[in-house]
Amino acid sequence: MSTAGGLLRRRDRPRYSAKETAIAVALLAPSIAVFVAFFYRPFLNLLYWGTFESRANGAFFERVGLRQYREELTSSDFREGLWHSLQFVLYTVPAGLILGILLAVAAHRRLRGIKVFQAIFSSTLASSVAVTSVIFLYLLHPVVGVFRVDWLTDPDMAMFAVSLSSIWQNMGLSFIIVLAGLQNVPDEVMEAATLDGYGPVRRLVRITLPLISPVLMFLLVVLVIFGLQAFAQVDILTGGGPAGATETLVFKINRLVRPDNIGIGAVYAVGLFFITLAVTAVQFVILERRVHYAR
Amino acid sequence: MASVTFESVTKRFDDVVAVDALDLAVDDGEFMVLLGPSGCGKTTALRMIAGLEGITDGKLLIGDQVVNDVDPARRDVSMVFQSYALYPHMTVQRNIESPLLVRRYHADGPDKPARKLTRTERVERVDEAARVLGLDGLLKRKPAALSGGQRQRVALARAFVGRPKAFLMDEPLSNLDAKLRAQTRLELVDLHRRVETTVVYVTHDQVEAMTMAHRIAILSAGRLQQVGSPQEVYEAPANLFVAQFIGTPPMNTLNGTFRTEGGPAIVVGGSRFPVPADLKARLDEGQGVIVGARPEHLHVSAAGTIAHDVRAVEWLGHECLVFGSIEGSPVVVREAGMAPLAAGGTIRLTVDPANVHLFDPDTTERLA
Amino acid sequence: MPADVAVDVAEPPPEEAAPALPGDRVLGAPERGLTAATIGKSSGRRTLGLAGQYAALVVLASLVLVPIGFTLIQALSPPFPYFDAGKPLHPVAVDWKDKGWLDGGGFSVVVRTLVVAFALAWIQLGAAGGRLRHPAPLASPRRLFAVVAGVVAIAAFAGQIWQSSAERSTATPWWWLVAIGVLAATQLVGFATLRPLWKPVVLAVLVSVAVTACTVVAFGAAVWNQGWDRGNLGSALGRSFTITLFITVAQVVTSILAAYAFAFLRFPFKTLVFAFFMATLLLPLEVTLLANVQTIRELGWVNSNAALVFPFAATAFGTFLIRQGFRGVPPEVHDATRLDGYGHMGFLWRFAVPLTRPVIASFTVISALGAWNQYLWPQAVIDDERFQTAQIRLKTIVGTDITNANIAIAAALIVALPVLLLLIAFSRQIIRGLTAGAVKG
Repeated sequence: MSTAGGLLRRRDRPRYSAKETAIAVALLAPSIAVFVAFFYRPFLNLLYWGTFESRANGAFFERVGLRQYREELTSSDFREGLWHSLQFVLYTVPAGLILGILLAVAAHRRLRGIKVFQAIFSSTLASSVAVTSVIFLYLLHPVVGVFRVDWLTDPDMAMFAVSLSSIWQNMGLSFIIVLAGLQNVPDEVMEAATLDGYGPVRRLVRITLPLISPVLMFLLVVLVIFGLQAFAQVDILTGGGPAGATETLVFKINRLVRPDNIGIGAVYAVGLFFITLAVTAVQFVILERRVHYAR
Repeated sequence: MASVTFESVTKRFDDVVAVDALDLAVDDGEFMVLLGPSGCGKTTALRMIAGLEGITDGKLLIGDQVVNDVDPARRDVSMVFQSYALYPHMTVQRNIESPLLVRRYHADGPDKPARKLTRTERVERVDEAARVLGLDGLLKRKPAALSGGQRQRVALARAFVGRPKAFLMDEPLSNLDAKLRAQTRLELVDLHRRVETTVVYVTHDQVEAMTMAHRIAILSAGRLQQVGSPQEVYEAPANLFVAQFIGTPPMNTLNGTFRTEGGPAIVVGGSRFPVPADLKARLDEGQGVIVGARPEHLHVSAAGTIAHDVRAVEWLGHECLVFGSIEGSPVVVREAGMAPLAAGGTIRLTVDPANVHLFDPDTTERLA
Repeated sequence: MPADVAVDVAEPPPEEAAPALPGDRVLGAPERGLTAATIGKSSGRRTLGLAGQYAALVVLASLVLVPIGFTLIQALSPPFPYFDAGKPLHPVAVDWKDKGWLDGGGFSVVVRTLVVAFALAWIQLGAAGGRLRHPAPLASPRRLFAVVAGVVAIAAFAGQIWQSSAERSTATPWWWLVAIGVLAATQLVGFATLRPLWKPVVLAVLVSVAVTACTVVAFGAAVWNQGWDRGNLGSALGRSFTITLFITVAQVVTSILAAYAFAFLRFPFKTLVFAFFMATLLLPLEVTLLANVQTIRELGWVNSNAALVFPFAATAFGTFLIRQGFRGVPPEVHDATRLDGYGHMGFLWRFAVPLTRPVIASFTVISALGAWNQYLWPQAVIDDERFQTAQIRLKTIVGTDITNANIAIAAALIVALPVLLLLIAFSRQIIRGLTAGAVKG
């Protein structure tokens, strides 16, 4: 089809069809409705509510503005919650990475019956946080537990005990993710390293770990985010005790759901948001900077 | 460098026999090609030399030593993998340097104790290897930034920088395009001449085998079919499989019967094939044989005793291929130049008795 | 050089020419050559390595299994007799059901029998080299006999074990031995074709021990019923099941629809809308909790299924995953369907979805897992015990009487069972879904 003048400018390309746009809107509408109602609107509400001090009957009392943000985010309660969450992360993340690597390296080989071990290693995926917490409650309970230790009642050991349950639970996920990474390392590269005289340890450190570092990075981020969101294990194992020693940030936020504290709760929630955002941003930067090898 | 000897080596994977009682002796400094179709066991045999596959039965020797249970790292062999297996996260320099890092070498002389190489020595050898393989200027790059041909040369450099007793190569040319392949073939032969190490080379491409090998070992379904120089396997194939595997287009084979009436000949329907001189007295009247003749040995001749029904003719400029059949079995004839033959119709062919191969129809072995 | 030293010192012998020109024998004269340390002696290191690898695997496996093992033992014994007897590894005072195989209601009997039959069939199939999708090897008479006779054997002897255990009679160990022996014999028939000869014997013994133990414990211990009854698990599990179903269906449908729009339709501001979707990943429930709870209160949805389902009816993760899958559909296929006259919906349900089935299956399973395991949200919007989901019911059970360890643990294990089954049945899909972000392809 020729055009008069012979010039086909970009504007002459077919515009968006109204029909197609309408269909797209229809298809996207349900998701958008949910996102607006349960993600964006709540978040905006939070930002707003954080500027209000509220009182016992739940009314939004006094508009105090951003001052409340500054006050609450620097309060000892918030910092305590943050510290407890960080403690949890520090306990669970390195252990998760190391165990994931150990399990995956051990099970990534051609041995008879290796599938049985792989199934066992990934089995902790089947345990929800609640179930895991019950299991560990009755392993560690000072009175009725298998090991009658007082870790759960000792303010210094409580966070560690809670972390233990998550470390166990994360083994399945860590294993599966690191194994997937190992399976992406070509066998022939490992064989070349063997022929070059590299022993098993050297192979692991010089060849395997560098090559699976993107996967390890991914696992790191997943575990950190899980760690920052710790709630159920604290709820069941210690209820926040002893003496608030295990109250993570999310635990505190959950407690502040009572209407009389919505202002403070909102501030905490926004604080959590920015912390998680920072972690995600760091992930993005580091992951994007890693060169992807030999594709 | 050293010899590599298979003494009745067998490899079983559960129920599958990948290599069946292989007896093969690769001489010191020889370029031995293991040739065969996919699944014939050639790669398995190669990996057994490297120690990457265990040996179920039999003995494998490198030099005089039985190496069945020796760790791959201590066998002093190197391997060029089909995918090159370069370390993606290391530079070319580090890749090539890799075999020199951990192992100990008799760098001061064969009688002095083995020691680790110093950094200077390593750098010197890496530079030398890079120079020989034309990799100067690429040393700081990572494999992802190299072309396929360059990566292959890095793999080669890494393989020989440590002067192993044997080089093992697993289809190293198959990932290259045709032009690069031809060029690299020449370079490999050159390299072997200069380095003089034992090379065991696996391929399914008979052109590579014929052009590069001192000797070819042809395998099929785990069994050794024949081992010999390219000329031997071409001119005197030990069985039907070898006869049909070597040569493009492959040897024509037909079922025939030995008859003495009207002179000794192999009769295939209305056609008569001459019998090689040394076999005339050894065949029985009426004995069934499989007769083979290569396309280039069949010539068009008005006085020929072989009737060929022509189906199609392909003119390639310097030669032509005549596709047709004898008594219903497909037969290809190769003639030089632009012989004016038409499709359809019958032509008569002749063949020199020395170029006729006879095989036992039951065992498929060469009759000699 | 000092002037008085003689000048006519002989020329130093010419150095060996440095290898420089191609074509020379450049790679070192033999004296300067490089030979590696002589080939190592054959090493027993290979077998030691093998044993060492298995040892490491066993140690690591025990890290996973030991907590479960202790937990199982705790479930079987009421707490105080358990450790007052000073025997933490022995289940003392187990409460056994005093009944035979055929007692306990038709439904229970049928379920029991089917489970055992399925387990035996699965094992026989595995030994024959078959898979669940290709059950043909099971059809041989000897394997069918093994399964059927095995079920009969279990039915005959499990009840005896239970009854004698409940009565605390001394005959119990003998009943165990008889059960294991007879079962092993029946299984041996099915394994008889395996070689070498020790394989079928060892396998039959192992299988019969495992199956007998599991059957006795799973169906004979009274604690499972107790846990179920005291914890009122029926309603909680039912609720969990309902909302998981709704959430999964909702998420899969909305994600497919949205992914279709992003993958196959052209509309203005597409990139912006996509960013709008992906940004929700930065707003996890933990952050928006307070505000969402407030919304639920305003809507009067506290304690309702709506509150449990609607906030999770759509997810950007699923949209992203399925969009990736849709992008893998070759454009030629799409063009061909347009020529054939298929509209958008036709193309979606007949081509796009079937072609991306693996991805959708992975997402479905992951979505179900997530929904079943939810804890924070249900406990925030449910304050009436009658409407609890299974996960938060566990907290109530623990809180009710914390010293009743066996009841609480039994309840927890029952709640974990559906997920375990899901994991076994769909392990490949789950793994693919979990590693989607980590590895390419």
